[in-house]
Amino acid sequence: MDTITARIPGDLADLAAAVAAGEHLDREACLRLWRTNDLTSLGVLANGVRERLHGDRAVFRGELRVKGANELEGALASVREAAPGELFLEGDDLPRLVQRAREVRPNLRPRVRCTAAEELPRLHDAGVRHLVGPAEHGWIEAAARLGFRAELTWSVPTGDAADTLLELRRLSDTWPIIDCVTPAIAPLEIADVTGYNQLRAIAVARLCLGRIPHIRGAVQVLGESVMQVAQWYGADDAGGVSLVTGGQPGLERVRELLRAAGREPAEVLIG
Amino acid sequence: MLPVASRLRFSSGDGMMQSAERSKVQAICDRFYGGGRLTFQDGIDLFHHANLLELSQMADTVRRRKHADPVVTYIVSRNINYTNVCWVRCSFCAFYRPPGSEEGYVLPKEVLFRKIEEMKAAGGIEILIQGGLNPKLKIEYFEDLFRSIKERYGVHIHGLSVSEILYIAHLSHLTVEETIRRLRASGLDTIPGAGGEILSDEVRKVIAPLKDTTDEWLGVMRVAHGLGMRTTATMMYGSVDRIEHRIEHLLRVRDLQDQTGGFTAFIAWNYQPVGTELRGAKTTGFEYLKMTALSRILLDNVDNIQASWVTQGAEIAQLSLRYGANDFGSTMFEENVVRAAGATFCMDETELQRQIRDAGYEPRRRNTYYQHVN
Repeated sequence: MDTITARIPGDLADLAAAVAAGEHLDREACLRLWRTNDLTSLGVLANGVRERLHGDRAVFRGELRVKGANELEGALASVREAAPGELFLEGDDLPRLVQRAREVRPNLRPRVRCTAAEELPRLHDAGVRHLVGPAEHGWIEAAARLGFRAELTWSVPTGDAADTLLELRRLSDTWPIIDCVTPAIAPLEIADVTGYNQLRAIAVARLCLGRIPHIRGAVQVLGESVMQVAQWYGADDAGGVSLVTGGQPGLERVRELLRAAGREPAEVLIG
Repeated sequence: MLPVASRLRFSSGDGMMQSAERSKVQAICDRFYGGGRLTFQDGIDLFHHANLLELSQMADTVRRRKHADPVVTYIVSRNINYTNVCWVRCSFCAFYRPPGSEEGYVLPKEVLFRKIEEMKAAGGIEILIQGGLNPKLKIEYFEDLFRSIKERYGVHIHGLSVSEILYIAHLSHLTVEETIRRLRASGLDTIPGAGGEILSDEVRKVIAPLKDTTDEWLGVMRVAHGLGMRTTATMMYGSVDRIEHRIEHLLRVRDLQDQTGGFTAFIAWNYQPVGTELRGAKTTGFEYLKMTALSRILLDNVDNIQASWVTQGAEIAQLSLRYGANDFGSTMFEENVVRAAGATFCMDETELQRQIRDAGYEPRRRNTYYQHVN
């Protein structure tokens, strides 16, 4: 055990060995992690898992977000023709939008927000292989059977979070298609979107979801400073960065922020 | 960026590299946890080679040594900027107006009194009264102002700055000691550490060439402490300074504190560039957490480290409670100086308490001497 882990005080010290061994933590351990006030020790434990999986690498990707058909043409025109990146689509009639986007900007790889299993075959036919969505809507099994990869948003509950995290873990163990989890604290539902709660959710997710490769601390949600800090509390992914010219922060800025946070920035593409 | 070898690795079998930098940090940690005092070079090495969580652990260790109870204090007070007229023209400041400017002001007494009444009605106990170097305001102006505030309201006056005191002394043909004695006799209770900027003349010559030197700043604080007055110390980093300047600043404060014990607290914030002549980029909250931690670790003889939510926002200020800060500053009714340079954060007492509780601490009101008052 390294010296920084050895300094974790008594009430969490016994979890360090289990975390280091990569064991699935039980419900009681997850609850203890969720309930502690000791954010530094949570960070030390979560960072240990993060560095074991990813070293210093912190990923991000160029992204064009489109909500519905009305935004499509304008959005596609707002990025350079050759710009590689991800096209994030949500709204109705997504298969048609995907087809149109692939004609105009073939370098953009589609990811769509999925909320219902019955949409999946048509999306698959349109060439979509990557989905994102909430875990609760029961589409994961259908997505797995069709060969999709998925990113999940975890709606952080107001009370103890262990049960929802363990459900996510069970889902991932059964259908191992989940590449990334993004803890999401809904500001309208919970009046406590604080720096502390955001880092706690990221750290506990990293610790309880040991087999899911990536935990996201998105710069577009957390802002520049908390995103940088989150890269030391379990996050290894800074999320999507707008490809639109003049979008803030841009790709170069995110690279700079990650380097300044002591991480090695890596722009990645899906698929 | 940090070299790969400087990162913590989770298990010794995971290839923890014993690089020279890593060994340095390890040696510093050993000395630190053994109760040893850290040096200038230690500060530089920690900034470059320690990782964020190591700094958090070290800073929290000092914090818990000094404040065993999980309490975070704050004060209900009001900033009053009695004038914005200032001839010093610091290139990092967006608040001042030069003498003769149509936008220059000196607050009439009745306006100032109304502000104090509003603050008292909200339970406030302290005014932080600061302005600029206004050639029209000699010591009699301040004596009259402070006396009338004390007579009417009896609130604590935390006021002026080293630059203002030196200028009042100069305008009034008094020594610094006579000036502070007279101001104190008229009601000035404590002096804020504002204007410390970076206590390195190499930096001061660039960002504020007409302002007091490092030795003058420390000299005024020494005199005030010698007269029994308590003051704070501040640091504004991130303009043209390098880390060496910042560590030099911390150690100059520590040296004086060893001699006088007069500093109640230390407050660091980053340069806010909007609207200033100096311009440039703003350092991020990540660096603020590192600087707060280094302040806590190196200033082992200063009791309190204050978070600067006005410049950092609630999220980073709250996180700084795990990087050595034990005080959340003031519930400001107004703040005009850093707001002029782009800081736009705002928090009332309820929100401030919520931030403190959410981080696992009990919020407690304090006075200017950091004694609990509720």
